Amino acid sequence: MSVYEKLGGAPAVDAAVDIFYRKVLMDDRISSFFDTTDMEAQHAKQKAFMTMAFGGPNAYTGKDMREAHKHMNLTEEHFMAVAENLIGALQELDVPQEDIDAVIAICLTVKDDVLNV
Amino acid sequence: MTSLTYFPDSSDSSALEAESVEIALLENESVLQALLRNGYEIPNGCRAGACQSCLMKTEPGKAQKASLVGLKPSQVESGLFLSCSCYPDEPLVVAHSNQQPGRQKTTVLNKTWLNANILQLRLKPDSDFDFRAGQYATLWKPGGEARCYSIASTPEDGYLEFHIKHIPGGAISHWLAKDVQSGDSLEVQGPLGDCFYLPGEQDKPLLLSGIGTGLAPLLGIIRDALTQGHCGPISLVLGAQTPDNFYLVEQLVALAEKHSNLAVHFLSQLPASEPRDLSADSPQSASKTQFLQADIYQWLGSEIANLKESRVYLCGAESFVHKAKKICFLGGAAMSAIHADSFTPYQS
Repeated sequence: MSVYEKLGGAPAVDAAVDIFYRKVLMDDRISSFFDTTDMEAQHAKQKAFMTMAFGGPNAYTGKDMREAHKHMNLTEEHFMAVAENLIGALQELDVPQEDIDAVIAICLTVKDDVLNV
Repeated sequence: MTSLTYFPDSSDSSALEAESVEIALLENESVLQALLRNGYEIPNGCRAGACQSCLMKTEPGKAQKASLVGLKPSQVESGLFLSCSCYPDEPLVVAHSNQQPGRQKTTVLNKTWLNANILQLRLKPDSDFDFRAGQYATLWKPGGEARCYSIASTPEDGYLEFHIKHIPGGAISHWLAKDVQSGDSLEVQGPLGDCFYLPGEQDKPLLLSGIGTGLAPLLGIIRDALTQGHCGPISLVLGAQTPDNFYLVEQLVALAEKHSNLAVHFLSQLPASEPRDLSADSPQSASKTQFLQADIYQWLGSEIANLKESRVYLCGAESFVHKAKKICFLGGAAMSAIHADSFTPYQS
């Protein structure tokens, strides 16, 4: 059973995205990246990302992730900031540590694409 | 196997009757897959019903439930669905999410100046014009130019009301202000938009905030919510540069007096050139109608209580909506509970 199913599918991801996205917007290390983005579109992208990270239905291609972050000059620190906020959100939702580990493991598989290395 | 009727051309909204194409669906094929297979460019992302890039429109109630997951109730009501997750089992008419309905003829009832530069325009549709308070429509000038304006009236009013900000020399607003007369015929296209009130959770708070003619859709939404029996607290927060920029002030004060659950806050950045104290005229409403010199963003950030249970409506200039949306989201409002309509200036 995937974390996605354990959490309760799409409606649960909606709630998780709100918590995660609030943390990201309040994190000085990365919030400026979101200053001019359309919040609703960004929220939908975050949802697609989290659905993927939770092992839910997705049509993830590394190419999209790479392309989307191409000109942002992201560093290891930015990636870790996002990961920390994701962990924080999952902890707030009382997701067991082993499931958090599984989610982070999936996130790490996209790291190179996000950082464009 | 069934088929799609697809209206490909959303950009040419000047066409009275849009052309459609018929597309036969293959077995286990989504609407998105069928359109892409036929060479139509449809925005899409995750193709798994999460990213919402592939949002399209059909008749309300026709799309499959699975293609509505994660959409706001107001989006569902207006016929939006996710084309990647919709596998029709009967013929479906689909269009881009921003596809406008056809143009309809209306007659100008009257024009009233609400302040120095905002014109109230009321139109009587010649035939039925279905809309929800808070949606917007396109007003057409004969000869080809058009602009979108929010509807300020409710369906019960029996007319369409618009608040037009007069821009001297503006192609549409100047024409409406100077040339259009009562009794004239005017073409209106619409409605569009999913910034409107839906019944349910009627005891929960509503926060509505806007600047300028952002009041137009908000006024419609408030009157609609009250008509539908909304009993939770309703806060209307209006921002302007100076107090003279507010309009329909007396009507709003009267509305707040009539409905105990409505409070109106007028926030101006600069003080009034002549002090105005409406609370003196109606002392009993002093606490429900507030005139303050305050920055609307600071005020929203500090004065609004936890928005966790609130539905939020934000209307006005794009920069306002963008900032206010962030403040309200960080204030606890769920993203799915924030409805916004940002006015984008016309770009030639």
